[in-house]
This record gives sequence, structure tokens and C-alpha cells, in this order.
Amino acid sequence: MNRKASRRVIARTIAAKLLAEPSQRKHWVAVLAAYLVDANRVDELDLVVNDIAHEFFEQRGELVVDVTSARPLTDQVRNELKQLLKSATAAKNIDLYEKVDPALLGGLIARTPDAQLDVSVKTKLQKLATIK
Amino acid sequence: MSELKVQELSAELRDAIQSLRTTKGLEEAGVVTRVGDGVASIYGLRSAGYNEVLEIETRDGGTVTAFALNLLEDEIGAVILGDDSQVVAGARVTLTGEVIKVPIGPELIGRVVDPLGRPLDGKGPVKTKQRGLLERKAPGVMDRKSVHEPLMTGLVAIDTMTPIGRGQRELIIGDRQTGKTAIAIDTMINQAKQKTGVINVYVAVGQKLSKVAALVERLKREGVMDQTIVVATSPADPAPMLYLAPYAGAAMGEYFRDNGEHALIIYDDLTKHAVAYRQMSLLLRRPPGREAFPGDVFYLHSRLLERAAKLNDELGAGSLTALPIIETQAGDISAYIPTNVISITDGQIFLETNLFYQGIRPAISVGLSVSRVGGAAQTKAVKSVSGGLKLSLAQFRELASFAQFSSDMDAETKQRIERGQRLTEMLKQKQYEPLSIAEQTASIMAATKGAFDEVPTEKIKDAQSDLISLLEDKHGAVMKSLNKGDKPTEEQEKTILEAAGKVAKSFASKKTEKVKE
Repeated sequence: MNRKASRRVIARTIAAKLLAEPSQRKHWVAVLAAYLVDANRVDELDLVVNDIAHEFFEQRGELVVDVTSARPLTDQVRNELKQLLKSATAAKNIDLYEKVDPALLGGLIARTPDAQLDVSVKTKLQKLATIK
Repeated sequence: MSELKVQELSAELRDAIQSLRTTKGLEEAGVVTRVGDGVASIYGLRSAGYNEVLEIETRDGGTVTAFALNLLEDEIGAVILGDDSQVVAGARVTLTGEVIKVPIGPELIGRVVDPLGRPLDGKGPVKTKQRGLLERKAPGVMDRKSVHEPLMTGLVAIDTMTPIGRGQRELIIGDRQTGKTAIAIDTMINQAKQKTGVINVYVAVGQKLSKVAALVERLKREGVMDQTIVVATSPADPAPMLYLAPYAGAAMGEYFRDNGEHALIIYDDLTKHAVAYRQMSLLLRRPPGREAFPGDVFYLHSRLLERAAKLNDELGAGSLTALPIIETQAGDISAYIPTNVISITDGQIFLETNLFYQGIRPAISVGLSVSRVGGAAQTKAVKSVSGGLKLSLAQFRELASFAQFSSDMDAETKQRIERGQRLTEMLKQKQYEPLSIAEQTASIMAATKGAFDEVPTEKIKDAQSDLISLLEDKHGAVMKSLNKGDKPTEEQEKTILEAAGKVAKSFASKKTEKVKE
């Protein structure tokens, strides 16, 4: 079986260091990059970053959320979304990274490291088209 | 343009609107990182359980089901139940929170379905009130009762010498084309013919669909299909479907067992099942063991076969009898999978190729076949006449090589050989013609008590059918009473032997063979 070091263990270690020594951020990022290049695991970059985000949430309650919406978010929607996410995940702090994609037709998709909230019209139409 | 029924359209619209209204909220989602050969590697879904059903979103917006078999630290290995060509890396995956369930219940009787309960016979959707777990724990020791009721196969060779009881597991093992499925089919036909009320479940694991179609056709013709469920998978189905098929069949059979009824399940065959499981395990990168099978291939079959049981009276006294089939290569019953399954089952019926080609069909090897339940599950009628049968045949086999020197032997040896030849001939049976208890009892009684000793060996089968017709015509009451299963009275025995004598005389007078003195 493969003897690669576990991605989650790597993420946990790096995340711990980043949280413990915020001033050393550049150093630890360089260490992680060097490891990935050396171990030929650069294609796992997105997954490692996601695991680190998960660790940030586990250890500090800081939730990183990618929100893609059909139209720019209004303040009201933004606040409601934050409320919903806070109650669903018990996070202490929520960071929204917003993106606009008209292809969604309406609504939004919010992605956390472990879960997603999909209330886009595009997905609803897809589900409607494929009901048996 | 097909007709649109307004009510159906309205109902469909209502369902669609309902599914749009229910938003799932924040739900756990993972992503497919790698997919190929029916296995998807999934990132995320940290709370996925073993064997949990997952839904993978496909390119065209639909979903395909998979279940999680490898829970590794960084990823989940899931086998895809269906077409993996629509799954791409980057696809979203969600949990369902459930393990696999299949429809169970009497609504399945008469249907041909796939392991997930989807219909294959074009008779419309399968709607059952209940769904049962595919993987279930077998009943414990205290929930069981010892096997004491017979399951008549209708095949004289089996019912006399290796009798099967309700709740037993009897393995049918032999090379290819030796008549393994034929025994299973005849057993199913007999349940309908003798109106035993036993529900048949036939699980085709990786069998040619043409073979399954022919089998269903034959069952329909014999009037058995209305007490049979067929679970079919073809060699073209993905390996996970072949892996699930026997368990699905077991779940369907267990419904009857747990509700005080009796069911018979045939797994045709478990060799293909083990091969499909090996394929899945190797693709999941599990370490290969002997013959490249994974380490838990014994558990694969043991947990399946333990579900066939006889329950105690408190639980309804129902039963599930299993007839697993294993195909050997060149008669090697000491290979890996055959020895595994032999050690699990309560006996085996061993079919030999050379017996088959000698014309002895069913090609059952009397010496190597055994039933570990034996007499406890035999009808008293058949038991009373089969006592000397196995011994006579064993003695015959010992002396078989001397048969060509019949002129040089003492009378006793000659008698043993001639009796053995007649018994062997009597045990031959045509396919699709299972015999009732009375017919079996009468035939074997006539042969073992010497009534047919003067009939030429090649005419024994004709003598048998003449005897049976004579008894049905003139002594119908005796046959009816024997069919109840009780030991024949002296009166009845006399009647049968008298009739046998009459039949034998009619053949002796037509004898063309030179009498050997």
C-alpha cells in the first residue's frame, strides 16, 4: 500500500505551527511548498489547503467559506448567510470569500472545508430535469 | 406522441415541486479525486461510515450510487454501483446516512429483479411495503432449532442418500457442465409440484442472461414462477453488483424465514461471486492473499451462508435453506474457494464429469457426497427404504471392476454386482421430472428388496415408470397415503412388492439378453 505521509497529518502539523507562530507564516508556507514539490505531491495542493482550513476551524473555530452567487450579495443576504452558517457549524468567526457567477441563474452555493450549502437555481433545475 | 394522463402529470408536478421546496441546508460534501475501473477515490466526507451509501453527482446532473468500502486516513475508496463513465474527477459526493437496503416482501414473488430490487422482467416497478438490510447478522444459537423437516428435491439419489432438511446448507459442487444448476432447477420445480409452499429464490451471479432467460422460461412452463423470485446479474454487470447479488437474495429470503414461512435459496454460483469480490478488492488496493483472493474471502461466504437457518418456535419456526453452487476446475475440491465453502456448509453433493459421460445423470458421486443433517431431515417413508441403498452401492463400487468377469464369480459377488447395476440405473433421472415421496419410496423399495432383479438393467427405468403408473391406477390410496411421508405399513409394502413383481414378470418374458448362469 502507499507509504506516503498522511495528508491530514501534514495539514494538522502545518496548521498548528501557523496558529502558534503567526509571524513565521512565510517560513512554514515555504516548508510546505518544498515538501509538496519534493514528494511529487503538488497536485494535492488544493486538498492540503482545504485540510488546513478544516484544522483552523477545528482548533480556532475560524470558518473559511467560499460563496459563489448569481448576483452580488446584498448586506441582508450576507448577514443571513453568516447567521445560518454560525448556527449550523458553531463557528466563532466566519470569513466569506465572494464570487459572482451568472451561470447559477439565481441563489448561491456556499462551500466550507467539509460541507456545502447549495441553494442555486441551476442545481434545482438540474435535479428537476433528472427526477425519475 | 404518447397519451398524457392529466392525473399522472399533475402528480409528477406535485412531486417535483415538493423536491424543489425541500432544501437540505448545510450538508457534508466531498469531492471525487480519482475514478476508474468502477472505483472512486473521494476526498472529504469525514463522517462516512463503512458500507455507507454515497451519492455522486454525474456530469449530466443526475446522481449515481456508490458505497464506501475503504475508509483511509486521507480518502474514501467507494465502489460505484452502476455506470462509472459519467463520474468525473471533481464531482461532488454526498452522504445518505444509510447502508444498502433492498425491497423485501411477498410482492417480489414471480419477479425477476437486479440486486437493488429494480425490475428486469418488464412487468413494471417493484413496490414493496418493506425494505430490508442487505447485510444482516445471522440468527444466534438460541434463536435456532435443529433441522428436522425435509426439503424434498424430487431427485431420488439425493433424497435417499444425502437428504436435505429445511434450514440446512447443502453445497452442490462439480466441474462445469455436470448438472449443478439442473439439480437446483429440479428442486425448485419439485416445490411447486408437491405443493410444499416453499418459496424459491434463485440468485444468478454473473450467469449468461440467455441462461437466466431460458431458466425463467422453464420455470414458467412448469408453473413454478409464481412461487419464485429471481435475482439476476450478468457477466456484463459491474463487479459490485455481482458482489451484492447473493446478499440481496438472502435478504429477500430472510423475509419469509422471519415470518414463519419456508424459503429455498440457490446461489448460482459462488465461485463467480468470489471472483467478483477479488476484482473489487484488488481495485481497492487491498492486499492479495492466496490465489490473489483478499484475506476475508472466507468471511464473504460464511456470513452469507449463516443466514440460512431454521428458527425456533418462538420466532415462527420459519426456515431458509441454502443450496450454494461451486464450480471446480478439473475436479479439484481441495482448491481454495471449494474447501472454504465445504467447511461452511452442512454437506455437499459432488458431481463428477466421468459419471456424467457414462450416462449416470444426475452425476452424483455417492461416495464423496454427504449430508451432515442426514436422517433427522428425511421423510420416514424414504428413510425406511434407503437404509441399505448406500451400502449396496458402496459394495457395488468395490466390485465394479470385476463386472466384466461375471462368468467367473461366486453367486454372492455376482448378485451384488447385478443389484448394484440395477440400483445405479434406478437412480438415473430425467431433467425436470422430480419424483414424489410415494414414487421414490415405491421405486427404491422394489429395487432394494429384489423385485426387479430379473429385469434387464437397461429396462429398469421403463419398469420403474410402469410400476408407478400401475400403483397410481390400481392403488391410488396407497400412493396418497405414502405421500404424507409416514413409514409404509406391512400392508402397503406387500402391495408395492406384488405390483413390482407383476411388472418385473412382464419384462422378464420380453427378455432378449442371454441369461448368464
